[in-house]
Amino acid sequence: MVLVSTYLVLHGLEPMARMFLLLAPAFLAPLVVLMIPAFAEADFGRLLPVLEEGMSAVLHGAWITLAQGFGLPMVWMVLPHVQSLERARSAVLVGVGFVFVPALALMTVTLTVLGPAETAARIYPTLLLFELVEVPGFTGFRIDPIFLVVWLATSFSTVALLQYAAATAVRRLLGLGSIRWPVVLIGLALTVLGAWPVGQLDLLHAGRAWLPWAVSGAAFGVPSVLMVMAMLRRPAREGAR
Amino acid sequence: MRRGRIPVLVALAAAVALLGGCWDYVDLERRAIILAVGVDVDPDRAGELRLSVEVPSPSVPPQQSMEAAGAGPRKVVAHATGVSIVEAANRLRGRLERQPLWTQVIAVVVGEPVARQGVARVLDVFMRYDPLNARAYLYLTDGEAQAVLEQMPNAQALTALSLSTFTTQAPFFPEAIRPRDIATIHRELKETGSTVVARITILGDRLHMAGGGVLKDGVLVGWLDPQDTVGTNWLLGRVNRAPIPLTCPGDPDAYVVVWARLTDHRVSVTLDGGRPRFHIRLGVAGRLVDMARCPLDPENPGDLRQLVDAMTATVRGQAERALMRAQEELQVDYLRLGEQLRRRYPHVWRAIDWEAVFPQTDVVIDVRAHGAGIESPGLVRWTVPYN
Repeated sequence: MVLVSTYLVLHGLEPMARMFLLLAPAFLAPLVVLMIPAFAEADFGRLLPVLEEGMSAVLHGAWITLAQGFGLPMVWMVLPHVQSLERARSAVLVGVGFVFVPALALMTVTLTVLGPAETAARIYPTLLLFELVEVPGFTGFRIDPIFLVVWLATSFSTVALLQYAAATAVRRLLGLGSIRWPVVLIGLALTVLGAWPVGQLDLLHAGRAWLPWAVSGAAFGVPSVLMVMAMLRRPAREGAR
Repeated sequence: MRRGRIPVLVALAAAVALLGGCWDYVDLERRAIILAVGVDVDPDRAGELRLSVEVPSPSVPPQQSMEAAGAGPRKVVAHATGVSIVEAANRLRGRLERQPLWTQVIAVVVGEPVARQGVARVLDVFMRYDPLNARAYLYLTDGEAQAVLEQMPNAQALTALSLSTFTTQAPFFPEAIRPRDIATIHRELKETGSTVVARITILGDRLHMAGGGVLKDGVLVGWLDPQDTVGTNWLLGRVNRAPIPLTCPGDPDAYVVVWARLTDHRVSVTLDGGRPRFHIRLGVAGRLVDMARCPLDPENPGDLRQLVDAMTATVRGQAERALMRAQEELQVDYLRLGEQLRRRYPHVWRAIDWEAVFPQTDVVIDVRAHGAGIESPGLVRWTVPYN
């Protein structure tokens, strides 16, 4: 996957975008098809009582989820490349909708079918959901491999985009003329990290213990410090003039 | 060809070697496809479980008819023991001549002694260990699970296929708790602490699905007989269609049968002086399928009213009997009433001891006829004029 991702990223953002546009229906179509039969098992009463654990639990869950995703870091990484915020607005809204609507639908189906307690207890609740789906005509067949294929496609897109973002950041940082070597080196780093002997328990622990703090620090803390520094330097510069 | 493309071609050619896929593929002819699993207490070793598996005989396709199957054995039933069903399953590797494939398990049968100790030793493994199939249907048996697997069905090649067929019959057979998959049973036990599970027995030389087993905190605490089960299915809203036999209001020696469907199932809860009060509303409607010797005329509004009242009274009686079994005898809320209370009044739920409150809780069962109640006299307008 890293090899193909590196090859794709070396060709720049446009081929990546075109490939992601090809993967989009391949991601959405099976997801929708698999979610419809899952609704047959849905019990919307499982969403009750609302705020059973209080608002703090919701905020904590939202924080953990934010840290697992790449939404905010991606905004910071892509923003410098956007030439016109006005022209980017529609694309951004489509992108957000593309992620938000399926995610909301999937989470609703998962909660109403599995219930909040089981969803929280499972390491991969969505995988269990699709493992349990009975599709008419396929009774008795486990169709979760279809979901795994979809998951693989979206994982590839994520890896490729992150590799591109990291490579462009390194290029800007070091003032390089091309992203070729940063892409290759980051691909090597991804390969090493992928081969690193990390257990699932380590990942689970990291996802709850320090990753939320690290992501929050990188996504909110560092930009905030930079912004404050810029604000402090501006009056000094203006005074010097 | 440009010189710069040669490394790319070499890299792609090298990648082809990595894209072969299925490097650990095991041919089907080397597999033992396990379709049913039975779990019993090991009679020789205290605390250990005996795992039995049903594997279709490699020489006979499982879907083949009995005649075509010939005289060869249709299936292989093997067993092994261990402190966990995983250990026992692994020991089966030394007893099956093929590599076991667990992902296609259709049914899991748990013997009564294991169920009396608790089904966690079975369900936890199925929910935790992904090679096992959490979609397998769970059955309880009041005998030994191994005996169920060793049973030679008459109309099916395998016990697993018989158990699978029962799942399609259950929506129309309210005397049996509908078989449900392990993940669903596990979820209900987590949500409410109790549930009902399909029951399978051996009657003569046949498998028989009727009644159900009540699990409380995962432990089998009692059986439901077929009559209790009919009412339980009405109360849980798990009836697609069912025959309702009722005494003919015009002739106590005659019976009428309505082929009914559940049109409405609502459970609501209110607070009466701080105590929960439940209202279960059932709507039924159906068509007449048997009126032999009953002199009533369903086209006559007065006669129709009598028939409809008798139908709703019969369903109410079945439901009240099931409620009494749950509240007074077993004192276990497998009717999911507590879950309704938790969802509607979480503060009350937290404040009370539901286990103690449930047996004394007021539950009103309101059975109503949907529309005209009896929607059709069937294909005959009047009762046949002969005995």
